Amino acid sequence: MFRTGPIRKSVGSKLLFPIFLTIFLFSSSWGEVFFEVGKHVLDNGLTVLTVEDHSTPAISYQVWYHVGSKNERPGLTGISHFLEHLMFKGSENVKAEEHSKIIQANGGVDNAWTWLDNTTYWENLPSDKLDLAAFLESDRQRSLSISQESFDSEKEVVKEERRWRTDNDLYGAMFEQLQNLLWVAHPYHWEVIGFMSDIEAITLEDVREHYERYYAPNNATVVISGDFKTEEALNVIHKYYDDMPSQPPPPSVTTVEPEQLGERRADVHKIAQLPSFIVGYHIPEGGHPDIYPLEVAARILFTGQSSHVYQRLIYQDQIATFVDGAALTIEDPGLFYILVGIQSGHTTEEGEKALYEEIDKLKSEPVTEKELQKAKNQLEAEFIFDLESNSDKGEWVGYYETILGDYSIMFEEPAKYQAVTAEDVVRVCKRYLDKKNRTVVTLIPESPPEPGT
Amino acid sequence: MTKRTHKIIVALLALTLLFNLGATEAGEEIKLPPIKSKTLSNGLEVLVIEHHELPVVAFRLVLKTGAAYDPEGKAGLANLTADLLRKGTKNRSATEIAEAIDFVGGSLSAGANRDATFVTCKVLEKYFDTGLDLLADVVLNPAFAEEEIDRLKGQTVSSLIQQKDDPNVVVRWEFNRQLFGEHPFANPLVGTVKSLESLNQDDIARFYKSFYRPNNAILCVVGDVKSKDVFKKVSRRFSVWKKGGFPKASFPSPPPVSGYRILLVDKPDLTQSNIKFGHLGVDRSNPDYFPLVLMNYILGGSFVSRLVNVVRVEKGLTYGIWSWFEMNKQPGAFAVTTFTRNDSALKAIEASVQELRRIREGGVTEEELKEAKSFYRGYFPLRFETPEQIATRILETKIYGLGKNYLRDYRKNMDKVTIEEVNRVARKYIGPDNLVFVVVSKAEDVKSDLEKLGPVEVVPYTAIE
Repeated sequence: MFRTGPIRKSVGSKLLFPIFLTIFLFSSSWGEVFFEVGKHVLDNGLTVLTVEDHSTPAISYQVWYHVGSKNERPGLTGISHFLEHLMFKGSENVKAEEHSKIIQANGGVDNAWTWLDNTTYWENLPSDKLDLAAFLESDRQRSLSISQESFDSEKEVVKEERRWRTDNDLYGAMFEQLQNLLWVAHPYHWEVIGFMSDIEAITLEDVREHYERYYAPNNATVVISGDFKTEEALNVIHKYYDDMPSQPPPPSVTTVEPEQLGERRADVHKIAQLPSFIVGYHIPEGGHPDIYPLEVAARILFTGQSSHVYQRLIYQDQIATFVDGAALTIEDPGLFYILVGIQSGHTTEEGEKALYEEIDKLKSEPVTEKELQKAKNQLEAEFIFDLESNSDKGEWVGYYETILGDYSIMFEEPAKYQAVTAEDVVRVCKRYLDKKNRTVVTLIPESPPEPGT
Repeated sequence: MTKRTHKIIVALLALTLLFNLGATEAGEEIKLPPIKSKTLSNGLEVLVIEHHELPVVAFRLVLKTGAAYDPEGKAGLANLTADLLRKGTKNRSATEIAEAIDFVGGSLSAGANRDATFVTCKVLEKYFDTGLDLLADVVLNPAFAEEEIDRLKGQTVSSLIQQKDDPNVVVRWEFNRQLFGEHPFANPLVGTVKSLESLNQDDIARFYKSFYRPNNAILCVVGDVKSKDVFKKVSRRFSVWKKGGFPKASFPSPPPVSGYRILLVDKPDLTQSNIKFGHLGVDRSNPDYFPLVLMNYILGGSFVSRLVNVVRVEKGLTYGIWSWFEMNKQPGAFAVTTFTRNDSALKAIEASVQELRRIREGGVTEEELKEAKSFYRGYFPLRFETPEQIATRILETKIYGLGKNYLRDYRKNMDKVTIEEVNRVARKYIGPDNLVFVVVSKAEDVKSDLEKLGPVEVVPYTAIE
């Protein structure tokens, strides 16, 4: 659902007059949802997006930094995520561990997440706490201050996180292999969490450099959504952010993943009772015109119990316990993945064969009008269901602005989905869901060794 | 890799009061959404909450009977019965139901927890009739065809085996089994391989006939609707539902825990140990609910708890640690759960048990209590943002009979808790000397460490039910 575009770098631009765009998200056949987004750029390049919604006396405050694991290099993998942890370790006016403590004592919750292209911090608070959120976020953006001691103990916490998510989790381990194999040259090659030996080797100095380079106001977007008045919010923003200096724009990622020339396969041997497998295909970056028919194909194949793959693998053949598939659309060319868990008495070979047959059917014959409409109805409902809370709205707006370069692209999406034809679906399935473009990771269950051997 | 790498946050140290903590004035004017209710002549209670923010409607039908009523040896019956509802009715095949709900981009699902069965449906408002028709059809006319039962049983058994490959799941299931003995809470909600194999069409039909009754049900509709229309349409579809008497179950007592009981589940390729320990807790109607919630928030119920501060922040032993009271109609567990690398499993357990002891013996500070109250006070409105959240809050009051002023008085009741009450419940409900421990790990790495706590029973992970 996302599109890549030039990243808006507004360094040195004047504060723009607030531009209010009232946008109808959906044409009449897609319902009547709309909301207003205000966009403001400070002199130092900080972008501020405001979404007023007075239905609940609460706000969501999010800071989106345009840096993720793809901005790392071998030896420093995982540093973006490590920095995210350290952002809770204190700054000029906020002591270590105080950030969340203050938020919670004010009736709020907060957290942060790191992804391939972005690092996002958020707080959800009662509506009279906007000033508090802006104070806390601006303080750590301006003056992060980490002691060697808290750096060392947090490194252990990050290592535990890796053991939990990746090393001791079957699907975590499989997804890491998939990423390692699917991207050879591009930095999506490694997991967001990073390799264990890199986490171990990263120094406080490395983290400081990463912070200086990427956490400048001109590389960040603040998104405020919920129950507030935009004019008052902007006064708060000016108070806390105006004196923050901008920085030279960070280097962009120039590596282009070379074309895959044939199927790649890997096995993961782990102690387990039932096998499973993941299939990945390279697809274009978010916003590429082929993404829209690929998203439609993903709905036809995987969404709901009437989807082709559910019907075939789970309901009819009874080979699989679960199937999950989606187009992962990110800033650089992304991934279409399928995860299948196999039932007792069946094999991954049977599962793969049935899965590929279902995919091939989409290549040989256009889907019916009704099926096409069904997929579009699903996309419409997903879109609306995803706007129920302040934080959901903020996340969408922040994602489009940071990753695709302009939040308003979000409002063009429905028309692009509406325009997808059955022939488009055939074309993109032939082009991308092709054996030569495929990477497969199989979980091979191993029995535990007999005790005493 | 598709998981976002969320950070579980922590905090502590002396708080500089930069902002006035107690005063979340915005919360003061919270009005609960008005609830319109009506009871049909067959006893079905219908609740409607108008929520016009988005063109969405959420239906939630609750039967006030859940997995606690699974007969002995038939664990998983409540859940399988619910799961089968959308696998065919007298009017539609399983595939037709799937096709109908998928075509409008909606969701329709059913499942049971310990105390209730939920059938939920969510659609865009323009598909209100489709959603309600499907909901009514699956609840009123399920076919329970043999073929569908066999298919779903096979799938559920396989998925249960697959879930046991996840140490986070094994530790939870095995902890319940150790703590609850013959009590039905010992079993996973989905049942066990053995119990699922024993379930047949008669069991399912009997469970349905006994408990799927309008006088045992509540239908809650939240969203972009007009209550008058909803009542009309609901009563048209649900009036045919016949009321009935339903059996009450009695429950065996869980075995008492005295001293430490330690079970080590061996999965020899793990480099991290999953740990869960605790003892029997309280039921949802316990009069000490409010002081308990505050006490647990301070102990291990939040990202700024004592357990997080000690085990994660100070010692760097884990990425996450929580404690909680699972409150059902029957008393549930009090438990602490965490994970750490194998060579620090004992250290993490000892540090956590020490925190149980500290809160029990030393109580909490005024400052901690003030912050905990301030959190619940301020956060209250944030729990009513979406139609589903609203339905969940309101149905909770109904299922557990919390009274009609429960939500109105929630913050008042939280606010008036005293430090003496919090310290009293810590002494009363936290028992650091009588604990059940389950650790899922590589036994070779941790067994001798755990033996410092007491005798350790080791089982291979493939042997657990």
